[in-house]
Amino acid sequence: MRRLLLLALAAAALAAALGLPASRANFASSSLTHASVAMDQTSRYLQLLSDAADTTPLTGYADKRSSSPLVRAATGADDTLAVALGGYKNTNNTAIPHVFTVQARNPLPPGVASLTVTATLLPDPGGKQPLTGVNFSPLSGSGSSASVTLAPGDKRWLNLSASMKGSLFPGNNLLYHPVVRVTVRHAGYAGTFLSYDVPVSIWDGNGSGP
Amino acid sequence: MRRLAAVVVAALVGVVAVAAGALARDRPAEMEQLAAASGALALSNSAADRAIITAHGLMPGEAATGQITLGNTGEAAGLLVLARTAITDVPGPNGGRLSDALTLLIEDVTTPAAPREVFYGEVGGLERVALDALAGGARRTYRFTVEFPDTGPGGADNAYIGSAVRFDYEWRAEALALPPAATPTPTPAPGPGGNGVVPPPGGGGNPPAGPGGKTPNDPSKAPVIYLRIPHQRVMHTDAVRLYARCSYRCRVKFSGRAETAPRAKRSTRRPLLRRGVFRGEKTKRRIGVKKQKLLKLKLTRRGRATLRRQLDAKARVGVVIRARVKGKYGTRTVKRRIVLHTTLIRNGERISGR
Repeated sequence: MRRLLLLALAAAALAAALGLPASRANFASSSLTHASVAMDQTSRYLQLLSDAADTTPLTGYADKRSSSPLVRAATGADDTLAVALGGYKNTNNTAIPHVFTVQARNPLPPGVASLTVTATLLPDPGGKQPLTGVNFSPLSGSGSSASVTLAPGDKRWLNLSASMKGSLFPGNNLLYHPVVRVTVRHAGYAGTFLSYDVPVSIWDGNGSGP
Repeated sequence: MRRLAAVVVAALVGVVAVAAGALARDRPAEMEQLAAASGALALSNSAADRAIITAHGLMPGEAATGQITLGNTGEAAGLLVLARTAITDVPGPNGGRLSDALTLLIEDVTTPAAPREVFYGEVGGLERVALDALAGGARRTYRFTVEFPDTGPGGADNAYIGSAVRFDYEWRAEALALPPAATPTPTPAPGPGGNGVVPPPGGGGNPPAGPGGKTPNDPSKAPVIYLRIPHQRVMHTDAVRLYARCSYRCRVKFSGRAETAPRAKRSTRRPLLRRGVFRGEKTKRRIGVKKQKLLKLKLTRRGRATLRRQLDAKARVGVVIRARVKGKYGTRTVKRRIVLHTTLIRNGERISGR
């Protein structure tokens, strides 16, 4: 009995392996295909770097104001870069240099020789805008500009300025969330699609805030 | 008794083996077999188990195309059906789901000089479309064009940076109760119904029809509406903007329902406002064939208050948009659900509804 069973099982395995033709009355009629689409992404062109993400010995990244112990204002990189500026309660217009760096990829994607990078400020969802300015400056030396042209591997500081003076900012412990939009253009593309929205938080109260 | 049991077991094993053999034989997707009432039906596919379109680094306003040829290498006529089996969205860092934004155009380009549109709409909107009836030996070539529309410099497209999507399609040849073609070789002939194509039962051509019967007001003959609802700020404009186009001239009445939008998939959605979300829900809007028409569904005061209240409480609210589409040959109702979300700042803490 056992021998017969073993023989039958072996025959079944052999038949399955050989694909024994038996019946053409198979009702499977489907044939599969697919389509894959992916949008371009800004990180193929430009990197945003905080001190922690910067592998070069560059120093001078801005600190979160009034933080104790001092921590850097910017954290993360590229799409995850975020800026916590700290407390600016009742301050006049104040420059906040070297918040983070922007660096063109090296090499850039095929057909792209250089990038034009601009930055714009978007207000807090409530409509208030504590940030008053944004510009780029070289890593060493002076001078700043609202937009910058970068060859592969070129790197610049991004600087901000902020003001929380006046009745718009009563200093009642509120955290504002403006956004710095960094837009990348090149000779083949003049739209606004290639951009980073960097979330910024700034505290209208005592101390450094959350 | 033992011998009898052994014989039964051997017979069962034999049946399994034979079935397995049959499956193994028919598995290659190049030539899938379908038994038809009037003879064998076999579908060949030039891109079986492969991608029709593979596009990376797409930018707003850009399109990607791909072509596929399907043939009926059997003798029986069959209805060619395209069905989407899966959508795999991989949102980018800004969270946009690409299947909501891409448009898909499918054209029959068997006669390259006279392409014929067979589907146009959101990629995610294609669920099942009956394409053509194929006589034995006939072949059809279809061109797929996927486009990411450029919505301008407002930054609305930026939600889709780095997003990716994959769509899986299944092609089916469904047996038709038609006599087999006189010869398996197609006889190219100009005009509709030429090139060996048998009109689907229930009427082919325009308007597009499914494989259904000829009864009046057949929902399968009703106009197909293509709706595209882009990302937008509904509470700022007090309206839902959408683009609509019909497969043939139609009149559409829109209505809306507000409901909760719990994040957990198993949670039940609770209705908040069953009707009266939009103004003019009894108004019929004329929609044409060639161009997408921009429609604004304005919120009623009550609708707006309901949505606002839910957004303030939960940061998310669902709106079901119901479109009753009426055309010359039939009426159909389609529904689309959108989720509005907001970002609240409460006690300095950011609460996102996304």
